[in-house]
Amino acid sequence: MFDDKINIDGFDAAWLDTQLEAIGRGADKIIPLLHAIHRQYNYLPQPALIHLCDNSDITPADVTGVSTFYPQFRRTPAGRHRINVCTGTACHVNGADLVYDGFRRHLGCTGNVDTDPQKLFTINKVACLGCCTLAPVVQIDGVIYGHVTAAAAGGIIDDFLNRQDKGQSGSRDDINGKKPSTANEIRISLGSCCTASGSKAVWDAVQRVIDRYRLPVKIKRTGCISMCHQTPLLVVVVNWTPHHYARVNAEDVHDIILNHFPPPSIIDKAARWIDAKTESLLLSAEMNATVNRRRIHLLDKSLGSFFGMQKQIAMECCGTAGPLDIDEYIVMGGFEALKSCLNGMIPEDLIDIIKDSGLRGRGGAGFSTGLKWQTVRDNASGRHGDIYLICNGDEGDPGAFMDRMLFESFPFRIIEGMLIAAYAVGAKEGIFYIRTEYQASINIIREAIDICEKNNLLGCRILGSDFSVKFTIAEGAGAFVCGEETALIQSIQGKRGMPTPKPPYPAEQGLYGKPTLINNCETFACIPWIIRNGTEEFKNTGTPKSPGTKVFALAGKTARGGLIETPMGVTIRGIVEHIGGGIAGGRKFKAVQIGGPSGGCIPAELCDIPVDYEQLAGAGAMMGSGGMIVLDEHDCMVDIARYFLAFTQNQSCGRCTFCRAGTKRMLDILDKICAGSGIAKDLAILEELAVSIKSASLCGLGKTAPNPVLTTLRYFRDEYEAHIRGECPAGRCKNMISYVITDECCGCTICYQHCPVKAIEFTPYANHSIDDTLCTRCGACRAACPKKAVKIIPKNQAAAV
Amino acid sequence: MITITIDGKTVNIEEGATILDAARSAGIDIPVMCHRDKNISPVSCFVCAVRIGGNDNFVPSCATKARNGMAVDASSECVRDCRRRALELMLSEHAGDCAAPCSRICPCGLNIPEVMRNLLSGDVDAAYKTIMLNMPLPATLGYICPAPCQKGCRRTAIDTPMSIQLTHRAIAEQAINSSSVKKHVDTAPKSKNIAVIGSGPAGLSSAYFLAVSGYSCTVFESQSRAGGTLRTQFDKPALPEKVLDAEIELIEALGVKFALGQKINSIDNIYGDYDAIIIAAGLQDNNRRRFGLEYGSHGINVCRDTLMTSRPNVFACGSAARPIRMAARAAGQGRQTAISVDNYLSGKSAHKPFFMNTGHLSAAEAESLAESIPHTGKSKAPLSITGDPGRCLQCDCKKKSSCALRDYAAQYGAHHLRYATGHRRQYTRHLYNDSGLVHEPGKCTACGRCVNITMVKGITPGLSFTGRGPDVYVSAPFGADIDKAMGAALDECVKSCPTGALWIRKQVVDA
Repeated sequence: MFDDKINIDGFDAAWLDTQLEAIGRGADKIIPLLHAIHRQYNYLPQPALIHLCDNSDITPADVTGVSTFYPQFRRTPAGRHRINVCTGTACHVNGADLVYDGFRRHLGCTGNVDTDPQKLFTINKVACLGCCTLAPVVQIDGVIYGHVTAAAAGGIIDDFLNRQDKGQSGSRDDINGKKPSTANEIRISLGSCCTASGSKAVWDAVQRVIDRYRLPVKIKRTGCISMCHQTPLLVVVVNWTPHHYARVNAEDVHDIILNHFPPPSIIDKAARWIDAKTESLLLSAEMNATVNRRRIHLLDKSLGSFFGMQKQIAMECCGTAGPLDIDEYIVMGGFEALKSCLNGMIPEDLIDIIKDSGLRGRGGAGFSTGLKWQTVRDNASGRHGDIYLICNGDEGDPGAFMDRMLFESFPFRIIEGMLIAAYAVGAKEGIFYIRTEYQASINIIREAIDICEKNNLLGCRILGSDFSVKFTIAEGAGAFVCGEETALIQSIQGKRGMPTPKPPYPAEQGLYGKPTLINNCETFACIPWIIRNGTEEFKNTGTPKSPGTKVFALAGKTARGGLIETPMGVTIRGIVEHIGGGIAGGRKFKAVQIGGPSGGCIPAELCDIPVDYEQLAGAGAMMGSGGMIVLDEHDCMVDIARYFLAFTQNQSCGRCTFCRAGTKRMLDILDKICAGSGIAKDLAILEELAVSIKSASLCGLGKTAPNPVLTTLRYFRDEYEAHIRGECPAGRCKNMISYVITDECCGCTICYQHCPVKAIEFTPYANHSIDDTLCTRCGACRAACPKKAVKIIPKNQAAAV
Repeated sequence: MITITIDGKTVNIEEGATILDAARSAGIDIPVMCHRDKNISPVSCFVCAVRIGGNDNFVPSCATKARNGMAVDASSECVRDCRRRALELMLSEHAGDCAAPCSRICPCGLNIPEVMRNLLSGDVDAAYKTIMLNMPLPATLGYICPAPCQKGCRRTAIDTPMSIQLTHRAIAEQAINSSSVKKHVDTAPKSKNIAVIGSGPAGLSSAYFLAVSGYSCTVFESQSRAGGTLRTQFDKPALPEKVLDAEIELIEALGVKFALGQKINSIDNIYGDYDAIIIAAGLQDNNRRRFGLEYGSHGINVCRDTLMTSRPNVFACGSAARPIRMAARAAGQGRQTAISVDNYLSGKSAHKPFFMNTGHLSAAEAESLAESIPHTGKSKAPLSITGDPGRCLQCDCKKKSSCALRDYAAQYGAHHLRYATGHRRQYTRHLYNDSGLVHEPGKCTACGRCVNITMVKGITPGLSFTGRGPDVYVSAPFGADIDKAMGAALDECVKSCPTGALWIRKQVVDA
């Protein structure tokens, strides 16, 4: 609640008045207004909220209800910088909790305090930053750090502060991506993940080399390149032929580029000779070695299998196109589908085409897209009201980042798909609902809308036809439940994101009570391809009941991860082994968590089932938005179930009794089991609750929330039973394991130096030992030990020792 | 008009009506907690859940439109299970007791907080009447009872428990000595005769409560004086004889006949003369099998709920059924038997009442109750008793007789501990002196009625849900007082609240 004692010096009423003027004073403008206040003050000061109520249609009850519903809004002052520790699924299985604890220790945060004593940093957990292949991930303001360990907390904070001093930022806004495609170009992806793994530094280095030697080559920003495990990826195109260089760092750039583009003038050649000489004197490095080391061929076995099984429809031209280059998009066939629709195709025929294609909603539930369009159109006829179109980009699933990538890489394709849909159903207004965590997506879509408006692709009388539609953006505020369509509508209307009973469906009574078409952004991205290539071509891909492709975010314990698009019907094992390259480090493949918090865990033995809506549902999982987290033998299935349940119970809107109280009670039981105090009766209660919640909740969140628990109970019951006996077979649950140092210890004291809680005594040249009562199981000693002498053993065995 | 079937019954209803509307029009009872009417229907509680056409999923009948030809299941076992689980989940969040722990522990179920409130209002007669609703021998028990009630007193979390036993003794002694409390029965007499065998605490108690309900009772006692173990177990200083005599006289004054010196050796002799027979003959080791009934290892076999023996119309209580040491417990069982006999003879079926039990309170919680004692009249009772009724935390629920959650919990056999898996919510109470509103957030089921009412009525600032998920609660914006935030809708909100989360303190009239 609001704290009366908050220091509110410096609240500027005049500033808020200008915001009210710009954004509006209607009750539905509350979320944009709260965003504006939050950006200005880093929290919501009460005087600002009171001023807001006094000068708009927004009521105090609305402000309290809305501002406390969306976790994005803070009501107490925060430190200057915000540290977001990602606790998405991939980050969780890679130790995000330990990282969070490590940062808190470093900042000196104790108890419920989330801000360091100097008020410089405020730390909090966030659902998913969508950089799953770099897990665990930490974001400080705009800068993303990947592969973080608990011990690295200090280094990362220092690095961040250094960047601040140098005036560097993680922002990519200064880069102009609008360059026409040419025969010779250098492509660098600046998607969120790539930037996090250092592609901005590579970009800068390329720019320097080009400037230094005045090379006749353009540098081009592209969207996601899909192979996240190879980032930063540099593609040098010479005479239309691409050459790929993987995991490039800034130092490599010079050699790679000059290998392809020798300096044109004699003066530049001389400059290069001098540089090379100097460098060889200093480093005696051989240029060709670098070049060959980084170079990868698409014919390589690993890449061949990474791409071999894939087929790109939503992600067509992945890694080659500049996201905001509309000319290039048009050259590649963009807006042709729209033109053919506007030129003589009547909406009914268009809907028939989509129905015939068999396209199903890519948001997870798999409802027929054509039928949905038909329902909206049917409901609209006879009524002379507005029809709304919404693109659902509230990708809240931890472990899913395909929506973000699609927005960042293919904004025009989504816009084209939405334009076709708007034409089909007769919508005059389209709204992008994008989660606020995806600022890069919001910026790109905003710019893409601008560009389209300038090119008569949006607005009045599009391309000279009678068809007019305008698109706007609504920003989410950190509530997962708003991905549910009725909650999303509430959110756009400026309400708490509480789902409403269906029927009435949004297609009947949606936004502002008008018929509303809501599709996922991936669904929209498939539309132009279907129109251009015909339904037969689309149906040739995938399975008869689930035609086409699906984009998956492959992450977790595979050797290769990234954003992949495969035809429906390939097997899970195929994806894990061929595209993912199997499990990293030679460990055993245990299960795949598919569909995020609504989905389930499918064990390795069942992974030969083909991926389509029915098969996954039959196995107790769900397509969901397409997050695919691969788990190995070191992952505890009870812990995974608890992780997802903790997520959903925290994201429940609190409306239905079963979802609100039931998920909380299930989490209590799972906490108890993971803490080693579970009893046999708990499993029966857990199952009873899971079935009840599934059958008696209003919305999809409640109906699917128990899936992770039900599937793990179904396939991994033995692990639950082991926990009740007091053992965690995967060695993950902190209360059931102990860290011990074996006789292989060489007495080097490194573990002592790394232990953050002084649980290891300083005994040089002698065997070290860990005080089990002090040990927090952070794993720092185990990671640091040069002799691999730190082992995890079951706690009951430790007592025997 | 459309036609649907509910539990096989055909119902015609206008198009656009909900399943709940249809059920109500056909007289089929569907419970509701959150739905109030067309305008106030937050759709949150799922207590009105029904199934449609054998589907596995449950839908809220208040928000599901009836469609022609629909087959609704509103009463099958699995629908009842679903409702019971919804109630049990609400109870797992519920912080607060239905009855105060002292009354729950008291074997007679004496409503102690109400007695204290009567005293605070200065009305000793009312206090005595409250006592006599549950406890027929308050002065006698006031001397000999080990007072388990005081061990349960919530006050213990802060300082010392209330002095309950001495209080009811003093009230009763004063009443016995005054002429104003001579007994007369308000209820119309019933033409039914009951025999009670034994005049110990169990027998006296059952006879008293049956007499109060209008039955004509005869108590058979083998000794020359009524009292049973009350006379034999206690010496005179512990229990003055005149106190016991006076209280038995009061029972006699109600019309209860005492057949003294008559030993009943077989019930066959009197079986035809009475509509019901209660055996309260106490522990009779030598020939306790004399009544010709089924016996177990402890005594006469009785049904746990009704206390009826193997023979119809014959009931047994007290040590005759199972050895009892505490006189108050025997008296309590006598009362329970009287209720059971009344239910049996009048054909009433009663749900076992439901009682929420929150368990131990933290000191902070008890302090919160102590700071918000709703009934704070100054005692003017001319009583020289120890203890101050103003110290009573009044932790019993003031809406216990009108609480929908409690009512349905009893109806559906819900158990409050079924999902008691973790930390419970805080039990706190806030008292708003100006309006007399009492807010107990721990009892809120987040149904949303009050929030909806202020919204529909356009009240400013109004109430709002705060937070989300399991932590959602109702609050007033910007830290305002919740009664002021409800403004003109205060009374409506309080009336609509299905639990004891919102209620109005009765203004204390100075006597």
